[in-house]
Amino acid sequence: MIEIFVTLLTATFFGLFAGLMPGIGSSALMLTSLPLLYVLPPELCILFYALGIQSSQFSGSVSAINFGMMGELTSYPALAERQYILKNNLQQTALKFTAIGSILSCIVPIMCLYPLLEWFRGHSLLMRTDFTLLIMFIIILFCIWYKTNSKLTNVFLLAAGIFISQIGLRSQGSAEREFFTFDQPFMYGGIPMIAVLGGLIAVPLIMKYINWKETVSVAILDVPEQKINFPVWSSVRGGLLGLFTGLLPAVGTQIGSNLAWRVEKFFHPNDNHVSVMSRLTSAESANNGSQITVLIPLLILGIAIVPSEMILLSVIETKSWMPGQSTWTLLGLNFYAWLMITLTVSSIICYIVCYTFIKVISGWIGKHLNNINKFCILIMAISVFYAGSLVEARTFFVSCFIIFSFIGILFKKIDFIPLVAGYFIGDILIDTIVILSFMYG
Amino acid sequence: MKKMKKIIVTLFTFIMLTSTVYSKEKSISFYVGHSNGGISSAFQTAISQELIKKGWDVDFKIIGNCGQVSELLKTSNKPILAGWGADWNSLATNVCYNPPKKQEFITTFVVSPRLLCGPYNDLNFKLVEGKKYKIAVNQGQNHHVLLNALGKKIGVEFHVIEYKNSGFIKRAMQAKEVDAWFTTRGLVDHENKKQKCLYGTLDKKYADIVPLNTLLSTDNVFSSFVAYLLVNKNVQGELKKQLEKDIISIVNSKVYQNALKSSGAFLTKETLEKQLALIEATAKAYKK
Repeated sequence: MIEIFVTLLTATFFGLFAGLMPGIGSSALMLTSLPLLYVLPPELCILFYALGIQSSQFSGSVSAINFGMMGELTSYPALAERQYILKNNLQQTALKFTAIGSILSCIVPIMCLYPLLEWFRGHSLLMRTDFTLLIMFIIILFCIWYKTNSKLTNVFLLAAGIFISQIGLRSQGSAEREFFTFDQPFMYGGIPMIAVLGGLIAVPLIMKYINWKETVSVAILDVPEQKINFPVWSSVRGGLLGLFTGLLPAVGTQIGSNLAWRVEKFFHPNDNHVSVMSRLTSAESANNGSQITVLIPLLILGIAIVPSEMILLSVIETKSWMPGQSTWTLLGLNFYAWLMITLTVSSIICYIVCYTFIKVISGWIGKHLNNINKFCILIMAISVFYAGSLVEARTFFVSCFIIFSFIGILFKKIDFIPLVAGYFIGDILIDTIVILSFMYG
Repeated sequence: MKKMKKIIVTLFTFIMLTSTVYSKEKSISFYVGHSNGGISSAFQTAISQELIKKGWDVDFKIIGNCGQVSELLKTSNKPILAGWGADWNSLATNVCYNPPKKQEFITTFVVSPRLLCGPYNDLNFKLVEGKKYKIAVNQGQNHHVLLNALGKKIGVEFHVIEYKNSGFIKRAMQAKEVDAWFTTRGLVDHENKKQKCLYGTLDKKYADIVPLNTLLSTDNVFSSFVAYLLVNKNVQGELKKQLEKDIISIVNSKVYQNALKSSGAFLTKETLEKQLALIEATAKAYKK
């Protein structure tokens, strides 16, 4: 019982903190939490992830409104509406509405998650290898059309990711296949995931924000709350959009809030109090809704579709976790029941913290921003080196991390998401093609 | 007062020294080369937990790569315990080829028969002469050799599809992607009447399952899953004796035997020579 309590509190507070801090994205949150994840059983790791990411999204918009900084792409709508909010002293109202929108769009999907998972599991079509290939194909398409880079760059990055994922010694039953190991035993384990993800995604993001205090403008939160009705339908629309976009590979959680914001602009195009609050609430609801559905492909097929989830998968795979085959129970309740309970409790904690204590917290963070950011970088570096100390080929691990960090910083204008996605789908893609070649060959 | 202080310091030093020596003596690195989700890594995890309960300081890691574990066994200065699959010894050119030597061998810890079973909830499953069946097997283990021979013998055609591990095969069965499977996962569901198994790599007939050695005379009929524990050169003398004693008591315990049974595996008390002979025969069963 104590472990679930510790997971709930740690994940919620780590997530809230990560959301409040610009530059500490969900991938960096997962990297920083590695020492904890390595000691938890796989089911609690999944709980930690779900709670942490949900909490970070809860407080992410607070960071955007308060500091005017975009930690992640999901905070763009809050940032876009910030000027109007500050000009019209809507800070308190905005915080209240985003908190209510977040809690609504969390609890409804949480209630639907278990029946949804059961439905997916009951439909054998979704467990078929050809269906897995279809998902892989969708991921590849999304990576190629990933808007930050040119299509050619994306194809190159994706291919590079798949290539890197295949390096190492793969056990195939009683035989082994060596790929680009150059007969060096330290390369049998392949290129470490943390080196790829941490070096190409987390390090450049943190480097971008290392001196962010220079551009920050802290908003005054001590303004009276204005009397506007909570935009329920905007929240429902955003929440539903988020549920569907959460299933989109690589970008689902990022585009959910932006899409909901744009859709809401159609219903509320004006720049007045009601319209601005409706757009903001819809975007925030979509943001949190997508964090729940992003778990479905992982729990059913073992496919991670966003980078932070990929870190989780790489940890739980070392703990004999198989998708859909968990027999873990605590106090007579299974994993899914605990997922629903803890997500609900965590949402309530987030609401209380984000709405009630935010003035105190953001005041403190505002004062110590630079030091906290540097401390976070230190913690992440320690966590990554701790993860490195667990592997046998330590020098190789550290070398890979440094090389990938160097590449990430040098080519900071390139978004490496397609490469990371290619790295993660590489194994499943090759396995799926091999199975289908047996089946139809 | 001075005397009292001296006694406390002496006692403290003694405790620190003895606990250091004790922990050093019962300290081992336990590396798993098998992939996740399989029966072998699950039982190695269970053994490591039992070793900790018996006072061992275990550095347990699921490396999931037999090549890396093989290299560590050869080069590391640490005392290492590792689980090995008999099927890895089928070819001398394999990176993971490591037939057990008497001085490095501890014990077999899983013997799981491979069974040819039908879909879930189809208790009338049978192989009809002249028909073609899609059958799921573990990849890279040459099961097509045995299944082609069996197909010829009973007059059916098997379309063999190779999957990464038993977990993926189970999913394929649930998805009705294949008509039958030939894995180590069927015995429990067969005994609980949730599916029907027809043939198996058994010594004798068991629960109406026909032993393949009564139909075919090839080495491949012994392709059960056999896994064993071995140590590197740094585990010798008293350390090896203590480890051997503790592990054998773990695998012979009622809890472990029940866990084996509930996953369709078993382990009988055999002499060291017989265990080594079983491993050798199993390695041959995976050859082309």
